[in-house]
Amino acid sequence: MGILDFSFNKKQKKQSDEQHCEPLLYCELEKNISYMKSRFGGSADFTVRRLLLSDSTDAAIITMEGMSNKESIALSITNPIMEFNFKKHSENKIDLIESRVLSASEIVRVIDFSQAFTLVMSGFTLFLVDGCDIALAIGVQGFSFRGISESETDVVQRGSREGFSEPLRINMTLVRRRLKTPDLRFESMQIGTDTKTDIALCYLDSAVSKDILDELKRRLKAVPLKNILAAGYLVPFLDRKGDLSLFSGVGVTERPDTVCGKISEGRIAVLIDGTPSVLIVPYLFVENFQTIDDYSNRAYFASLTRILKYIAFFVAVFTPGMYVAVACYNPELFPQGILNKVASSVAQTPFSVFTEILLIHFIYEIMREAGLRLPRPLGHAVSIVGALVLGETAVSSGLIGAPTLMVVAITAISSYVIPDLYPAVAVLRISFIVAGGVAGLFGITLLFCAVLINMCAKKSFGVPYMSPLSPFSFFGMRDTIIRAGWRVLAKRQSLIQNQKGSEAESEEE
Amino acid sequence: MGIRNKISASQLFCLLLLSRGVLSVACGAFSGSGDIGSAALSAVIALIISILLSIPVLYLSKSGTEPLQNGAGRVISGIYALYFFYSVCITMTMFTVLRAETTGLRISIIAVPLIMTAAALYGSYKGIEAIARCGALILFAVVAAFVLLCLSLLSKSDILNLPPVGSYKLSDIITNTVIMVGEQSCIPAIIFIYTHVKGNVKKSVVLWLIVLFVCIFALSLFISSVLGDYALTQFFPVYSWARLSSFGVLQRLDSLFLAVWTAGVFVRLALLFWVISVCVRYAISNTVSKLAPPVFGIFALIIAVAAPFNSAIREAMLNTGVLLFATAFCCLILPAVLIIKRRLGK
Repeated sequence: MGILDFSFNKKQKKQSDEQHCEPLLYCELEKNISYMKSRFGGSADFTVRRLLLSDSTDAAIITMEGMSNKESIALSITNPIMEFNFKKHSENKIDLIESRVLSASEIVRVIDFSQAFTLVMSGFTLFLVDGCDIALAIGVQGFSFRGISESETDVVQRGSREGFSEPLRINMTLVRRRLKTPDLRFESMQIGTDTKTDIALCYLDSAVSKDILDELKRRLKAVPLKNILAAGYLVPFLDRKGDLSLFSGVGVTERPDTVCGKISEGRIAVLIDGTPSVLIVPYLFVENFQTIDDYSNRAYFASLTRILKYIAFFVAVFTPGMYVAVACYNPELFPQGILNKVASSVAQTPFSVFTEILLIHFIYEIMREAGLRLPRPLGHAVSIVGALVLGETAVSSGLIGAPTLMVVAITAISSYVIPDLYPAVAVLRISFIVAGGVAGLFGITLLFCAVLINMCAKKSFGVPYMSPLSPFSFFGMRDTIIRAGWRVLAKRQSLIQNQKGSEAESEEE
Repeated sequence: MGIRNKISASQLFCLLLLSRGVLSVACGAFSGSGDIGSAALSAVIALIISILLSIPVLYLSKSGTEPLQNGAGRVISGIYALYFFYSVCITMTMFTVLRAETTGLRISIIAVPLIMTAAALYGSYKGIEAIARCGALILFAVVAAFVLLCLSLLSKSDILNLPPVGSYKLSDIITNTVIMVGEQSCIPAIIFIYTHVKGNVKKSVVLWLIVLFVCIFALSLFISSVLGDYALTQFFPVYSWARLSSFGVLQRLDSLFLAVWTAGVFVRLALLFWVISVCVRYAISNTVSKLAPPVFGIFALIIAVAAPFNSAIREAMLNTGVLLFATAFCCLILPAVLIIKRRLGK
């Protein structure tokens, strides 16, 4: 089974369920240890440390190498146990150890192997005593992880430099530190039958819609994957089934301040252990154009950048297609000066405008993909090859027209203004080029209509994806195309479930 | 979370205005005779007639769709499906004729109507909520485009081009009135949309008719003031009017007109296909209703593609007498039959 084989069929699921149905712990220590050893199949990181208690009872400490802090194990488990005189006490050993011996702050009672495996593999240390069918899992996690650092994907000019890290607990702390209200809730779940990935639903109890919360839990419980290794694995299961849209109704961020802002509007964040990406639902189209910087800057400047982002989106999607359509079918639309340049360029190059622009786009996407995966110094080399060798040489040799290259360059720059929408923009751009080449402006208009109706039909957890543009809400427009000042925004809190047309919309709305 | 599938009364207004407005944007296409200025007078008369036609439809709609789903009502639903199919054919024929004969673009004669049909069918499949939301956004674009066109042509407008009111021929006024009333296929469509609307439908419908005919009135006068007698020779005077526009370095804005008109036609067709599927659902069954729009769409596509080459088909599709009769029948006779049936049933 390769790393990409995450899906289940029904037969596999049944087999897997049978495999994962673990028995209860035995009273005999040896039986417990041998069962665990057999389940791990001699894995190198499975470690057993045997102890002899003061009353000559056998005990064992089970850990996964590198997952627990050895110093903490010694200080809070091994030393107190070895120094404690069990002969003086006649109580149940497990109760005694839990209440009077161990100094660790997090202790969980374990009765079956399934729970034991999950906790041990999460960094807990399992303490077993001969003659007891209950074990203690002690929280002494000590695996190494990346520290809190600035997110490279959500860069801001003003604002916090803290970004989410990989461990779930640290990410929860980052949110809790910013929202000091008892209304803030974290609900834990585990998904992925093999990875048993911990996730936490984070929301404000006073703001969240119970309908949306229940729906989110239902969809998460229905995730049939074996492995959850990144946030992206969950996104298709959170979008509505059969949605078939290029746009996603699930937002992704690596910034705790963004999460706090979103959940205060009634949204729910899904924190996933092992990834700094946090999912946010419901997520609307207009949110792709909002950044945390908009709220740090003055309203007039934030509004200007917001408008520029919308323009950049349209430029990124439509410009190459429009160029092809106009150059091929409606050249009269070009002003005289530009028409002359385009005409001479088309006359000097061997390809049609349609072929030229499609070709350059494919080359550009290949270079972009190559640049992403390469180490940074090599990435620069690719850029130089792309810009100088391919671009300059192609134009000077007469293979590609300069106006075409210009169009592709403007489009490429514009598409990076809204990085969240890049996948959709890239696909739409090529689709519009084809539509423009086949049916001119009619093709572009009709494809636009089809995309628009797809977006208008889309809902993110019952909230219209195009809200507040359509269904139109004047109130919602204060933070859509423009960003109103804080004095206006602070007057009334807008909750996501109260958007017009929302299925969870309250009756009085 | 319950699925409500409801549109607001204001969305209904936008949807009806756009769906009906796209035909008026190409007004004069049917008549090809008379002064476009007389259309302004016809608009006033057509407004009154349209309000009268909408009364039985609204009265019937108030009682829900139950009368359409049993007994004779099923047959009537089937007749409505055929009427809306006829409307689809007219719209697509106008679209292909304008595209093929007036714009002179070198685009495949089949490709554009085919894409249009596919896109409209996809729109209808997405449901009334999506069509209404999309319609509202497209209406905004259409209004913005027309404001731009009007501003760019303001300098070319001359009041001397308007003929005096007394010079309008009665026959032209009657012809234009017949066209304007005949094109009101959105009125019977209200019967099938009504249950999906929350809010005051009556107010929306009356407001829609007033705004629609005020726009037609204003547009007709403006076009007449720009084109003068030249409008008489044009099959699509609004397109000819748009061709004269220029804005800064942009010399030709008729492409802008074609783009917004195409978007409007898309919304109209999506709505009509959706209404057809509802009619077929009432008349036959839910399963067949899913197949009906593509089947009707293919037939409409064949007719529309053949229309520019076959004058008989074009005449049949653009026959004002048949159109008026069909609209009047669907707005007056069929609702009357259903109202009487309901009364007798009580």
